[in-house]
Amino acid sequence: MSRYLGRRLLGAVPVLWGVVTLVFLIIRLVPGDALQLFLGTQVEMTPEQMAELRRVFGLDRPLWAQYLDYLGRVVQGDLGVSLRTARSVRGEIASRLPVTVQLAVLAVGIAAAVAVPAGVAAAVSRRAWVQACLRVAALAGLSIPSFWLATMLVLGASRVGVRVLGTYVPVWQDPWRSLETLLLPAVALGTGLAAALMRYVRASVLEVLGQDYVRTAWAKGLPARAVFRRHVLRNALIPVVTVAGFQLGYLLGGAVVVEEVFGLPGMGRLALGAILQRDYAMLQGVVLVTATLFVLTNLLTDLAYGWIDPRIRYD
Amino acid sequence: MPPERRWLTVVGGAVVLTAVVVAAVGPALWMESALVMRTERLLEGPSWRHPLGTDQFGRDLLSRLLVGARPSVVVAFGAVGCATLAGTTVGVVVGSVGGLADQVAMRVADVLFAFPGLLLAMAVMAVVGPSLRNLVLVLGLVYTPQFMRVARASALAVRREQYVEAAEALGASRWRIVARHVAPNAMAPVLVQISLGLSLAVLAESALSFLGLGIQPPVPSWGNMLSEGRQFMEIAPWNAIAPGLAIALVVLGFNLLGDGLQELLDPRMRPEGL
Amino acid sequence: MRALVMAALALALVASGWAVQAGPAPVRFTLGVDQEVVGLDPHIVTAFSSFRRLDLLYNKLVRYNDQLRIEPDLAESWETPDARTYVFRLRRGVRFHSGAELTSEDVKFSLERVLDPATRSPGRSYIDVIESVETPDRYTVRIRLRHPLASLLSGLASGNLAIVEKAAVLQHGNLQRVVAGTGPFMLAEWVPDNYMRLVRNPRYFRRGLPRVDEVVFRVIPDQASLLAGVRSGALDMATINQGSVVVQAKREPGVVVLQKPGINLRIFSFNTTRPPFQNPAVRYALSFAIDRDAIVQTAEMGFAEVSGPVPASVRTYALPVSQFPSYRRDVARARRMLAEAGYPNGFSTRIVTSPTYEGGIAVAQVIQAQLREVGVLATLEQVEWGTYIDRWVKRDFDTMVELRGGDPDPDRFLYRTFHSTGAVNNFLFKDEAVDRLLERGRVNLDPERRKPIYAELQTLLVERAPALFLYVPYETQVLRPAVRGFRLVGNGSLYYLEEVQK
Repeated sequence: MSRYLGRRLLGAVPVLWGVVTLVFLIIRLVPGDALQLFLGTQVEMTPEQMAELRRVFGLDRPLWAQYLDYLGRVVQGDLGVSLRTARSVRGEIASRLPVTVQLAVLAVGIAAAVAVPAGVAAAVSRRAWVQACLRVAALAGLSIPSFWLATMLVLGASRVGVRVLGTYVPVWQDPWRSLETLLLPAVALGTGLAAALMRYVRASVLEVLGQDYVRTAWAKGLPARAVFRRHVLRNALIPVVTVAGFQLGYLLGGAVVVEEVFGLPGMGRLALGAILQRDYAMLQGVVLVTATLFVLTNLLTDLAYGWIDPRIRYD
Repeated sequence: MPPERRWLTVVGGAVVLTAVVVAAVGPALWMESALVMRTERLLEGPSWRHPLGTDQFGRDLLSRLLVGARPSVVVAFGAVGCATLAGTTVGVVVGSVGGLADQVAMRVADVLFAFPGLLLAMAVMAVVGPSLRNLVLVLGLVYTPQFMRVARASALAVRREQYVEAAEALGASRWRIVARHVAPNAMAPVLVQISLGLSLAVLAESALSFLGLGIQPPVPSWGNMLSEGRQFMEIAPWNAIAPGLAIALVVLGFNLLGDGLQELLDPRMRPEGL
Repeated sequence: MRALVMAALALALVASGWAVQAGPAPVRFTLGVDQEVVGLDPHIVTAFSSFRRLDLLYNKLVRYNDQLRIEPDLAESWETPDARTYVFRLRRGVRFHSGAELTSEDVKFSLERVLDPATRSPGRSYIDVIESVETPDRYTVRIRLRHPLASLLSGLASGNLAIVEKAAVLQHGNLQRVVAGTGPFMLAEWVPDNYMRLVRNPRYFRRGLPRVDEVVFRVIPDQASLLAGVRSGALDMATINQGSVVVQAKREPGVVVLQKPGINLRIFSFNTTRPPFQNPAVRYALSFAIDRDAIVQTAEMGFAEVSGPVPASVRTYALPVSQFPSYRRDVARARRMLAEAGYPNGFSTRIVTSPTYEGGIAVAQVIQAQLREVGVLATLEQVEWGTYIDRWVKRDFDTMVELRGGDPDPDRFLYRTFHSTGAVNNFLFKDEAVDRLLERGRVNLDPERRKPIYAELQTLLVERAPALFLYVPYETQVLRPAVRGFRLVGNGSLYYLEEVQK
């Protein structure tokens, strides 16, 4: 087990290195000068002053030198300083990460809570109208853009007198208010997810139901509930965990669009701002942290298989 | 296939076919009326003259919807086409040959995979500038690793099947095995991925339009119509409802068609699609 | 499991309208804005969004009231013994947030900090005629100028000329993160992209103000969400600039809409060094080709006032637009003028624009459609904001849609924009007659003698058309009905929040 973990973690290193390199290159190809953006349209500066500023931020050195320098500092856990706000990238990310993690976990939670029962129902129900309703619901969920749904939720909720757009507070300060602020955005994010997840649940339940050991269990005369809990659900959970884990990792990249609509201070907005403002250090930091989280989530997902299905061994 | 499922597949196919035909002829027939502004008819509701109403500039929404089909359809098919071609080829090949090529390819896929997709698309669009072609290429790039993984996984599975081992034992060349046995049998899961990818690409185009990185105005696409229409949701909802429905309908069509085709190609598999 | 989730959802929805507070709750005023600020150093910042917060944290020597007339702020009174000397008498007993008293030394320090090229203050060009700042006593400041400047007070009223505490700057280096002002509110807490909380300054020099205990700025980028926030009670007030949202707000009984023509000017700029726009006749012809009312109706949903080169809201100086012949659309005449200039079949060009409000994508679309009618085929180059700024700085455009920050004093806006040496003349526009009028207008202190100069200049600018002047957008705030005492200044400023009650 520990050897497995070690190998997996080691395997993540080249991936993260690739991500860092890719983002480093992409952002420097973008037209537009970070300093000029920082100064806006109202400031007049002499070329000498610009050159001086460039030197201060290390932007005057050759690309490879900047790259090596950056790699060196990243290895030591130093993500640099934001060009735009002059604050440490690590600090900024640390303040945004809780929002995003909470939002992502809540969204996946809501999605799973809806998709698992719905998927099972779709697999076992013999009623045509249940099938039809679930199918339509799933397809509708898949085909609504999240920014659209987010807007609808904000407008709808504000019309029926629900207080929307509360100020985000971390869960450890005030769990209740935190949930209150994040619930609607999580629903907006979770809907599409739920629809996708439901397809997988249904498919895997159908597959498991056809397996020999389940037929045996039925034949032995075990009560339906026991068969279901012991065999069907447990096995059906494996693909669910895979997809949920994958989606969670994806959402940790920040749900830019939903954050914009709900005014949440998450990673997505940090990243969008960094792209629009050419804040090199910040974008690099955000992408690196996101990719790391993604890799870690996938690892946790794989470990979860073992917990669900003891037959799976890591070696 | 039971009759009602066959019927649904036909409906899905008809929707997709309609979208493709509209995309092909739309711009030629209705571009002029999609662009002309009528200041005396701003944000009018549906009427005989304008069955879907008019937008902020008094442009006819029906014409815009018909013209806007092209970018959405082109982006969906183009991006997924690129991703399928690149991803499946590489996936099947490395899955079959294994070794160093496999290792390298999968690490590259991991990097692209770990890189947040929308961020990648946003950053690349900011570099190369928004255009239909760039949109296709960027989304194609974003979706490639998914196809690569799916194709590789089935290639690995197929390789262990008896008929492949038999072919190997008979001395068939490696490439021949890949082309004749592995690739065709890896297609079923790829097909599922395609129908999912088509839907995702249509939605991604609208999300990028929302952020200002999609199809450029005044040329309409469903994505930019939806994101422009969103701000009129409360005072002129038809502006957003029409493109929203169009997107939902086509996504639905892709899914129905995908499910049906999959069942047709691989009768052993139980219907997956809900 | 499902039942549990449903119960949680239901509970959360019920709880949304329910909050407990212990003790006498502080009166908190929450304001929704669509942009976060980068920094808070009043001498350095450039963004409109930054100034809105600085309005509450700092004071200036003088400020504009809601009639756009100069009124005392930190200076109680002032006199001009001669055209090159200003003497300001400061209020006594004004205290910084730190508790230290404001003296003439702080004023001198602030002005000199802005003038110092190393500070890189955008405010420097407003007051660079200052030769020296003297402090005859603790409450008197004497400013000597190199030459008379009619817009000096207007410059001093700019947010970039806030008076800061000398000791604080010496201690912190800059003020991007700390506040060293005298304003009605003090910075208490700042979580970027989430909120900024300001608390009442108990020692504020305007007695009895401010009337609320806290002001909270909430950053919500989406305009429809801002209105939803006011509607649902999460916000007390929100700044809106999207016409469709304003239309909706006006229909709702539960919110109050305050509107007034603002001071910013929407223009359609030409690069006057690129053909065919180096020919003034071509530029002027396009002035006849566009329909400004149609642009206002579509792009701003009617919430704007058509304007000439001086923002229409500056009633003292702005000529009525009926005096500009090219403001009545005349497609035939435009075509004829283009033909005379050598373009009987029109030409092709490109319009740089951006999807942000400032970038005016809607305006660009209308202009594009209108130009087509005179044979000018324009392609839109919609770029994101970063590229837009880059193109602006490098003067890399044929034409461009812009939103310019105007000013109640015509000199401060027009000189830096259209003088051949002007700092933000990115039309690369050179015209001797225009330069001469600009120079005469700025050294004349008597408004009655300045008026004819600027009248002539406005007519000339419309004809030479370095840009097509379009309109001033309205300034819009959406409020909850319970809010009392807020007034719009008309230049975007929010300092009447010090008088707000709820």
